[in-house]
Amino acid sequence: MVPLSYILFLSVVLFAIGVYGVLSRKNGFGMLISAEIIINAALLNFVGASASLSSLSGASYALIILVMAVLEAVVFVGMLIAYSKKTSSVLLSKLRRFRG
Amino acid sequence: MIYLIVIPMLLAVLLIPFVSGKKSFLISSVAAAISLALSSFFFFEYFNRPAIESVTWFTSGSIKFTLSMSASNLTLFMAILVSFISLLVLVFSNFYMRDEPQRRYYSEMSLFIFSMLGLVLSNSLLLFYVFWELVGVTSYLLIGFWYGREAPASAGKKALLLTRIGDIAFFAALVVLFVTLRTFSISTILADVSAIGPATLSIVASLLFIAVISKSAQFPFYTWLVDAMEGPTPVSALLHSATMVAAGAFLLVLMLPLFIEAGFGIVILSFGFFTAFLAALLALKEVHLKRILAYSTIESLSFMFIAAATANAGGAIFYLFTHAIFKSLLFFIAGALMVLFGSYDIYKLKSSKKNKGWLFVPAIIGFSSIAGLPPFMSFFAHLGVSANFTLADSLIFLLLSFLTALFSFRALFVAFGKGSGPRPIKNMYAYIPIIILSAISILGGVLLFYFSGVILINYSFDAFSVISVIASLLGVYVAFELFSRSRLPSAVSRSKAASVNLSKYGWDKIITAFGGSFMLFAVWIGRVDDAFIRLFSRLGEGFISLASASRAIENGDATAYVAAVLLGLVIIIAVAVVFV
Repeated sequence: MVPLSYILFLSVVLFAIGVYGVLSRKNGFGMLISAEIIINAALLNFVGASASLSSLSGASYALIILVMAVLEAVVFVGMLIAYSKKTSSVLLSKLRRFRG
Repeated sequence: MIYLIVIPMLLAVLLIPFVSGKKSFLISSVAAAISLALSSFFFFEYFNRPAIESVTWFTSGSIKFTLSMSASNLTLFMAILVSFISLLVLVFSNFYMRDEPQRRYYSEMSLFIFSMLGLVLSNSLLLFYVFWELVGVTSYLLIGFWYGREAPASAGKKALLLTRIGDIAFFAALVVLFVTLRTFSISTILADVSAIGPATLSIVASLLFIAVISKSAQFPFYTWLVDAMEGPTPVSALLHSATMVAAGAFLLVLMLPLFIEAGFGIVILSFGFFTAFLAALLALKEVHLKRILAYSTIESLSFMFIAAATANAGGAIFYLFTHAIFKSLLFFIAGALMVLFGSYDIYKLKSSKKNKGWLFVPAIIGFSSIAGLPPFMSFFAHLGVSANFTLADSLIFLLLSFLTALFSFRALFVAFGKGSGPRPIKNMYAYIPIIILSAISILGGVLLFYFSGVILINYSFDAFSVISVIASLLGVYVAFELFSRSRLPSAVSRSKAASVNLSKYGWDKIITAFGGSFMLFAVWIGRVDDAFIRLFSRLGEGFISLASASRAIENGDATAYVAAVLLGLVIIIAVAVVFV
């Protein structure tokens, strides 16, 4: 059995990697993948806690969040395709023209 | 079964998008006629046997949210009134709006009638609030019906924003009432008024009062109603005289026990008298016929407030009924004049030198009704308004009667000046509503004796009634001297001289000077009005500069937004770590 602290440490590292990716990537798909890494870091927390407390509720929450993440990815990719058709680019910096 | 009254209008709203433009008039007026028939049927069905129908909307824990409609003499009478006026206005619209986009107009009108019928029938404050908001939104849509032009578009916005203040106050009152009594039902709330603590009660009463005065365009919110005259004339006839603005007065009458319990009678009374006085003076200075009618509407609504504040709810409702009849009549006449002469300016109407034909007769009826002259129905309504007056109220009311007669007959004498060459209106959709409303305005007085059995009305015919009629006649006489015989310019200069040496002048001159000094006072009130408008535009400019200062945050940089979210997260975690 892997100790809980290892799992939490892995999750923090994944989270940091994800945040760095979201902040540094200019490419829309890059940002999506980084955001997915963040979500997976959270999922790992749930699963790890579920395993160490030997309760299934954490794991079932993780399943729900997984489904949500898939839906969110679908919406994001759909919007990105529409966006790239308009601007012929996936660089989100073009969104600047929506400034207030 | 009561909900059946509102269903036809809702069906009309849903059907109109699918039919051709010509049929939309038919659908909405047939729906209004069905509503009228149903409400008359239920009126006799439930006569003196009040009933409440409720359905549970949803349950949250132990709290049930119920929607209920009430069938009582008052609500069903209001339903008859609303559907009747709506039907006539729709008929008139077929004349006045025949060249405009039909489907949009009639679907918006149907939506309005639906919401207004729902509003008068609601017994649940929550439902009442929903319809109240719907009425506000349709009013916005209809004022801005000609949104292509600048003035109607901004008038619609102004109406929406000013009534919004009242809506928020109403919502707050709703929340406070619900937290205190755990119910939305108006009948339960009124039964339990004494169970509310005095502090809560005054909060609720003041919030509701703000809602009421903003909807009914009383001081300091009255400016939106005057600007709303930019909308089509049938809309003004239905929304801004007969029904929508009367919703405020109706809410006041419904919740009257609560206001009385909170000791708000004197507040309502003083607001009512002040607004009436202000509106009468402003009307004296106005040259736009519809705006004069708008000021007169504001004044009439104040009369309803005054009647309600003197614990005479029936008098207020009867005045509401009378006012709905004669004010729609006057708006129809104004619309017909607009079609004939292309202007609302009373001095342009005067100089157009053409005969206004038979329109003169209903105009006399309408303007005499504003002044409350016998034998028209309005005279009997004034008996109801002034029934519970104290001596001080009576004295102010005499002055108001004089001023009201002065401004209404000024409009009549100026707009219907002498002329030649007949140009009658031949469209039956125009003259049928005018004739029906004129007939009711003449003969409706007898209804007072019938209605005193339907809803409790206090009315009294005594020396005061005679004196107030004399005051009105005096106003008519002064208006005749000043405006029909055009003695205004000399009157203003005389009024200045008269203050130096009054005794030198004869009776005739004193009368004209008296009128002229009121004109001067009216001009002064107009300046105060301008100052108010300037104050509010300053306030608005402040918000605009605040908004442009905060534009820098919205820079459109996705990475910056994510960074801001992360920063916020870090701050929240830091706060949680430090304090929890």
